[in-house]
Amino acid sequence: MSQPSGERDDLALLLAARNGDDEAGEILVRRFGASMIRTAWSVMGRYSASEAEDVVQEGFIAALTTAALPQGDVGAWLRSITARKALDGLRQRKRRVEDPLEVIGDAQGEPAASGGLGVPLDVLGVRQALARLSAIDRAVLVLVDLEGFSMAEAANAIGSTTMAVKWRAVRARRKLRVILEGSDDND
Amino acid sequence: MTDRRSRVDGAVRRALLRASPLGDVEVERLVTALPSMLRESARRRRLAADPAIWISAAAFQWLPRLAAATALLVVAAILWPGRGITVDAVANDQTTSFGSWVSDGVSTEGGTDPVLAALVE
Repeated sequence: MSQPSGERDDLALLLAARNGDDEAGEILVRRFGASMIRTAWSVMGRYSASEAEDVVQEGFIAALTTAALPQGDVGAWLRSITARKALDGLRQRKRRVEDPLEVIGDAQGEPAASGGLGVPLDVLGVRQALARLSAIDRAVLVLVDLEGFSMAEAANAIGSTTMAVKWRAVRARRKLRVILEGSDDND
Repeated sequence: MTDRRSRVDGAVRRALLRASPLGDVEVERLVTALPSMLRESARRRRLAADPAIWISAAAFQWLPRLAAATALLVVAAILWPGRGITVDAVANDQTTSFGSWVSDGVSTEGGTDPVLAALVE
């Protein structure tokens, strides 16, 4: 099966960046940096730009350091590393990420919506719901439901077993639905 | 890809997309930090390739555990309940054995000194 030219280019860029090519590294950062930051935000449940950038930097460094190569989409591979780094960062800092108030109050550096309006209430509601999940549950949902990873790929990305990821996905989806339906009823 | 999409929970996907930041994400700071990221990855690769480094890292990780395990074994050996009796028993046996060997050339363990046996005879 031939690879799409875009993916091949990304892989070549990755290899060049590993060899110290600044230009290749910059193209990678510009191409995938934003989506990696979004992944970091989603997993952390916190919308602070500086924290997400730290996580993404660690992700880029890991991607440039390892000898492993992505098996398909380079962007998805970089985002899976970012998810893992976000989890590692949360574990190290032992922050209480399940407090929804922390999420709302910590939106420094978040890009503003067009028109200069604040974050709409329905978006805040969804963020609150996501923040009530554990970080690892969020990581599973991001990888499986947003990135389209298989359970085995998601398990590999976050350093868990396929069975554990399946169980987490089922539980987290159910919990998220219950929270969202509850918040809809309250509105 | 169809298989992948079929596994995805649409409602959860929509929720995750809705929760994402609304505006464009700024990556200029990441671009600015790129030279330091490249330097750091090169440094980590050098470290990973140097056997002395990973041996010392492994030693730092395992030596305290080995020391703790050794200390536990020593303490267990000292405090082992049957240890004193065994030593005493061995000592008594040895004394008995030596006494009978001196007096008649035959030890309690059944061994005979041929020279002493000849002299006694």
